[in-house]
Amino acid sequence: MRSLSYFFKEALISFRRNMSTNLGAIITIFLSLLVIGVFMLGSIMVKHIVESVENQVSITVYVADNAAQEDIDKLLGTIRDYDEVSDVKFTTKEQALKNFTEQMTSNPEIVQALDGANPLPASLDVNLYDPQQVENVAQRILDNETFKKICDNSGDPSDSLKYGQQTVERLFQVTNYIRYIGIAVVALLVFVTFIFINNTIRLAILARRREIAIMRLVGASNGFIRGPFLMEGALQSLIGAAFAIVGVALIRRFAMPKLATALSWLPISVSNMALLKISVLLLIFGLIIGLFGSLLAMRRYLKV
Amino acid sequence: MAKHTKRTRGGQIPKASREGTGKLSSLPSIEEMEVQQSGTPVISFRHLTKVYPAQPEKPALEDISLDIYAGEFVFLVGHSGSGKTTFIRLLNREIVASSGTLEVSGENLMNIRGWRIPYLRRNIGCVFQDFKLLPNKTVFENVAFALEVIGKSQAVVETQTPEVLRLVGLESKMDKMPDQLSGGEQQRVSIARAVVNRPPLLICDEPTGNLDPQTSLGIMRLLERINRTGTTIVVATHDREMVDSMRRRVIALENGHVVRDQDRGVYGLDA
Repeated sequence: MRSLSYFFKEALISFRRNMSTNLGAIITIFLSLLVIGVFMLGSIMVKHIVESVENQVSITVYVADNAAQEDIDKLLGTIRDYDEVSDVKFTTKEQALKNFTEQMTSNPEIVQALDGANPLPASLDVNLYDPQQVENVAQRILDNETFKKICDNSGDPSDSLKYGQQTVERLFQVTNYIRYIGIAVVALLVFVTFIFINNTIRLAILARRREIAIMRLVGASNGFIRGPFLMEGALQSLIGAAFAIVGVALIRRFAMPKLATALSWLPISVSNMALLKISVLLLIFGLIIGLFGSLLAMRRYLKV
Repeated sequence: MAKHTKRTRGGQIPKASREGTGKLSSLPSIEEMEVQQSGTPVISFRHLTKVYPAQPEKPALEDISLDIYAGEFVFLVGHSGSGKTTFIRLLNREIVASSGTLEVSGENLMNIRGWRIPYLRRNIGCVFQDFKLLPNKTVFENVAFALEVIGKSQAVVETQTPEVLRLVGLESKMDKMPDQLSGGEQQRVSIARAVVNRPPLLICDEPTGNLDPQTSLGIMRLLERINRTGTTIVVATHDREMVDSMRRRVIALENGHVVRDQDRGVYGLDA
């Protein structure tokens, strides 16, 4: 415990005396982490956009006009019990017509052409937790006996179940690509940053290798020599990470609302929770690089 | 021309044979000094050879066997490249010998475990030719470091450090950085650091290597005082005047061999 406070004291003194080197390391860590943070922010935004697009995917099951209410309720119950399904809504024929009329306010003649008749079937609207499961769920509904009994077009049940078959497939291909690219970019950045910060720390320690050798010759154990250096590395990364977190928070606070108004059709937002996650990640990542980098860089000079 | 004579001291015949040149043994003979000797030597070389990988043909030290006992003051003399520094660096395990055995303070340095090395070095004060002071620490902190390393309390550090700095005459420069001091002052700081934890063995590599005669004399006086407290001292030097005036044991190295080992010796005539 005493040596811990000794290490801390030594680290602070050395921090002050090697101000320029330390400042350089802090700025490197700050900028690297800031870039990573901004990209994390960006990837969260993209993820939101992708999700909001995907969430528009749902399954509509058209029900025959003569279907018995108890069969409809049964199918409703069965689908609702699927693990993948978040909720199911029943839309009556009347409701369907009403919705249609509302959608067609710009072309009222289409509604008038119906001449009071209602060609629209009643339907079940199925929403899913994970839109990627749409094909799976659709297939299960198709296999369901009750569905076959009450579907609108009993000649071809698959015609009574709509989820934008081909479009959905392509959409998911695109969104998955976007996800992979996001992960790859962040991973690449993390790697680059690791090399970058590691080099800075290596240089800072290279400049003090004589010092380390002298400590060894005076009889200091490796742990005793490492202590202050590690503490200094940790201090550098903590300060650097703190600046980076403030930077990311400022960008979210001031730059993102401007972006959101400029691209108002896209749901751009990053929750406080996500910001907290980014902060914690940056802090941990910074600390790991700071400590690990110092440890690695010192290793060869401790062999005297 | 060299007649081999055994080096004797206090009537006790050393385990290893030591050689001296006949010519030098005829120099004014002085009554044998009473050297406090315990049964086991502080430093013990046995057929020790050190070959650097860069010069496989020419060993830096070859087949060295000798003992240094507690309380002795030993000069190690020889030309540049004769193996003095290798000798010194073997003692604090900066380098490892190629063959033979070497024991220092009861530790066998040929197979000492890595984690034991710091503990060995805490028993050996080291004064280097290039001082090896920590550039980012003040004079006080440099000396205090040797105490902090062995886990001495803050109170001990704060009493012992000024004390030893007073001993070397630097109490007024405690808060200076090493580069604000003269060479002689830096050397005295390095001596202070080497002796502050009262090690039983002090080894010095050219402690007066680049100092003027007046300063050298001061440093030698200091080493003598430290020796009188019972510390064993090994000094590698080519300062002829100093060796001749002190009249202590002299081990002469030449091309990696001990060519002379003499109590109350002088630097030598061949130099």
